[in-house]
Amino acid sequence: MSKIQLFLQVEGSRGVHLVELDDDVPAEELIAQAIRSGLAATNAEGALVFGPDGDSPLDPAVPLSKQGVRNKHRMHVHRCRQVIVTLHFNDVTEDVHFPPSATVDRVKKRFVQMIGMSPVDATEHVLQLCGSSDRPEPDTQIGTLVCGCCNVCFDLVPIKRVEG
Amino acid sequence: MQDTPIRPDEQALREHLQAGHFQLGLHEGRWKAGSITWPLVHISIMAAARDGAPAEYCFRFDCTGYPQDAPTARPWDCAANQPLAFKHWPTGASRVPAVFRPDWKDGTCLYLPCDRISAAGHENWRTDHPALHWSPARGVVMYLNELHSLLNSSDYKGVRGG
Repeated sequence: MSKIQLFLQVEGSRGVHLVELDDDVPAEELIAQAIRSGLAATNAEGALVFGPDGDSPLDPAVPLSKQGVRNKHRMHVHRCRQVIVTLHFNDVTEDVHFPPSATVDRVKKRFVQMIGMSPVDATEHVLQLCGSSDRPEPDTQIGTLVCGCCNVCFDLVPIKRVEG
Repeated sequence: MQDTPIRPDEQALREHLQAGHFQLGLHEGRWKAGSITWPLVHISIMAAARDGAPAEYCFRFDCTGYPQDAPTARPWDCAANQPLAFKHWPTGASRVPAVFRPDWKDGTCLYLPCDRISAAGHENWRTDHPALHWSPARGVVMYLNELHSLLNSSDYKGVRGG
């Protein structure tokens, strides 16, 4: 048994919590940690634990160390197994499914590939939440942007030069 | 002799540097923490590889009044603890040189809406660049993320004198 630190994010909250726990605790212990980090208890019922790379949730009863979770990995607690991400660019609209632990950067990379945008042009565009001026940081896990539903919508918009 | 109590702004900044957002960027290699001699804080930002350009740029942030007041930052030669010579400043095609402007305030700050000095007198930026308007809740990480984004964009071409 050894102590590990994990970066934990939870449903509907953009905070990143650095939590420390034994590596042999079952994955469901992260749900308790999530409540201590601000997840509403009502949102913990039926919550799933996602690891750093997994598209599927971890087994809640199996120790973290047996499921490949290591020190400083990113974890996510959310009730949605998948988030349906609606993406707009000009006249193109795509719906893509991602686990809630997927980052905004991962979503953007997938979308620019789908629409055939060059990597150079892609660095000059950013994802913005539909109907807002909110541009979540690229490392934001999309599950933090939704609570009580499993849908989120982005526009891919050009980054403006600072002038004036 | 009693220690001088830590100022609230310094305490707030130190708490943000220990919090998850900053530590995640540190762990993922987006930036490196440097010295703190309040209110001056050195932080280095990793940059994309370009011929003749460094792998990282150091910045000196003045965090007076943090987090209610935004920091102000300038490129800094952290080894010599002096302003970075203009010829070593980052440059690029459009967005990068618009931010790294030696002609703006004699190079003492960056031309960004989240910079305390530059924001003053630019009320239009609140509507033109709302995502870059300073947010005490997001804290210094929003400034760091913007610099990291610029220095890893296709717009970034290396150093001015490169």
